[in-house]
Amino acid sequence: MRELLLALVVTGISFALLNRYDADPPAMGTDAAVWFSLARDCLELDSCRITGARSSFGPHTGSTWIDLLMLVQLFGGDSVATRTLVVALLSIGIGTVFIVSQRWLSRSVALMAAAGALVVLASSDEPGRLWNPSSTFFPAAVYFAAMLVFACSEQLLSLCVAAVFLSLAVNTHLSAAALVPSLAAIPVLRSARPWKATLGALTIFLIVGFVAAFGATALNLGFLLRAGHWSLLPGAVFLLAVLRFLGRPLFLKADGEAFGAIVALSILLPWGLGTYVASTQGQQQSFVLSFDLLSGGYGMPVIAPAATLLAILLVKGADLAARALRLSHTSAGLARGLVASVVCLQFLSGLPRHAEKPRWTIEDVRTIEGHLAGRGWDYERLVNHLQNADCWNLLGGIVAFAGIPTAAPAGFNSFNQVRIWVMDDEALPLQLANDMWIIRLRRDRVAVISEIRSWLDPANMQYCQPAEGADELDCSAVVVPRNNRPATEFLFTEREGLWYPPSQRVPTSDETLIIPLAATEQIKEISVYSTRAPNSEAAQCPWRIAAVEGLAFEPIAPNTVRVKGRDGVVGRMLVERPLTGCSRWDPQPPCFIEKNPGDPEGLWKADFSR
Amino acid sequence: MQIDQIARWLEAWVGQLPTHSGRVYALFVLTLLCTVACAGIVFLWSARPPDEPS
Repeated sequence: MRELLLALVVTGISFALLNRYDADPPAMGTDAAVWFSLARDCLELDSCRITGARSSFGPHTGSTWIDLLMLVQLFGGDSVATRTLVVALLSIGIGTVFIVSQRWLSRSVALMAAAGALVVLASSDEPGRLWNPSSTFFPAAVYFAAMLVFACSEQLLSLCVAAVFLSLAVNTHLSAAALVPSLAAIPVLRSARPWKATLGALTIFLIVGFVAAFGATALNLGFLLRAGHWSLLPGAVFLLAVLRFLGRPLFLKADGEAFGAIVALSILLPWGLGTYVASTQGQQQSFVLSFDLLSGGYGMPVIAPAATLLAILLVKGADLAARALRLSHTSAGLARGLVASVVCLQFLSGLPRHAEKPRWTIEDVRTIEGHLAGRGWDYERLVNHLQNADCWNLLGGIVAFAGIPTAAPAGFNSFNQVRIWVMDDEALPLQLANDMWIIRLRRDRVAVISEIRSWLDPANMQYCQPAEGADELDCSAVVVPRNNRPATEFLFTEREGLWYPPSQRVPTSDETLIIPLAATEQIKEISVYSTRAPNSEAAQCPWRIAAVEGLAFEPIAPNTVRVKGRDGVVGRMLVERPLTGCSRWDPQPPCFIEKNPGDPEGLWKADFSR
Repeated sequence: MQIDQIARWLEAWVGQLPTHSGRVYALFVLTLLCTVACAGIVFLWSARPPDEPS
């Protein structure tokens, strides 16, 4: 009973520490937007994608995460409720590893393993990102705990539980596929009937996969066949046979903590091998995922075994030291407890006190989208007509909430554009123009929105790259792909293709955008901004204004020009991005902001999206 | 049977599968999986080494 209470306390503490995000709603990112759109397709259009989402290298993630998002939305929950559910699942995962380690390994190991896993999760911003790896820790940790029970007891029921949770983990995020070898290896080492146990576990794994998302599981089997990875099967069977005959005698001599170390290693070794193979062969060519523990999401499935292995090594080290110092049994126990306490305190003191404030939160984006839609600005109309320094990240978020496209309202002018500034409430300038309106956001922030008659003519924009073998530019019109399906067949996720015009081609050399300018006033300042990664202060290889043709201009900042015009005079602006020497860049086109004479200066100074 | 033949047959079969279902089916699957997962968690939280008193 005491163990159970202690496990409940650990689960509760984990929940409290993981849920300590002040009042910040979760951050909006492009991945979160895709998953929210998939959940909307299911809930609002009755079209649930049972193949999940296709990963960047071929196989499909299942639909478990979509179903979970849909469930929260069905009960009217917002993104905060979704994150609370995710945090609850992560805490149950930590509690499960704790109670199993406590009973089958030792209390010292259990405490350190739980503290280690908690610290890694609490230091990561994964729980707040609301994409599928956010919750992968939960099924993977329960899988690890079930395998521990099986390794220690040979209970077949625990192997069945392990197979179920591994299947759920792979269905949530494909990075958990690195755990599959352990599902075969541990029964081979432990079971008296190794082949029956292994085949049974793999069968349950497949059945749960087919039930959870038969589309994704079938497609992934097809992917394995096409990629020719079945040829690895005889080698895998041979390796398991060797493991059985050479490894089993050693395995049976092991004690509880050694069982724990072996199970952890059976998970960590394939994962490490996967990392190595992916890094040497390139992600696209490797079936094994490109993992990076430090980058967060893809390391979620191995946090529990890694923390447990570290805890076992520390405890064993303390035992060895106690033996070398010839300490009594009681003193050795105290030494273990001391190591566990120091490590836990060290881990917990390393917790970041405040989560980083995201640039866009899901709830802010939802609020902004609602107001824009109310004024006739639906998503399709906003593409290339939204002026904000971080316009593509904002549009990428709006895609998750925008309704089905509607016909343009009467009098809609394609030269109209929407400008949005977002700032702290206290930074709001006292004087605003009459045509600007203010929207209250969470975290004491406000959005100031105004519609302007723009000089930019995005409908006639051209995208250019250097022509091969010539000293000229090869230009073509920027065509924004339109979803021409009838409303009854509309899917929110099909807007994916609208995010990055001109995304029809991946930039390989220097890029230039030519934007026609139709002057209507005497003077205007035009600034160009580049998309930044969510936690980045500066853009990689930013866009810059190269020239303005047909209109008088003067550069007043590296990314800003002051253009002088007369009503009816047409010119054009050349914006370029030299990619030579660039190792990484965001594919989005530039964001523009036009500043009219008389606009309050404070708006630009306070805008946090710049 | 050659692996290539199996691959072609599986590809053809996969090509015929529906890619979307209705939300009732999705919720049914989620309920089923939640039930199985809860049972698994309860089992793990109650499992004890044989020599340990409950």
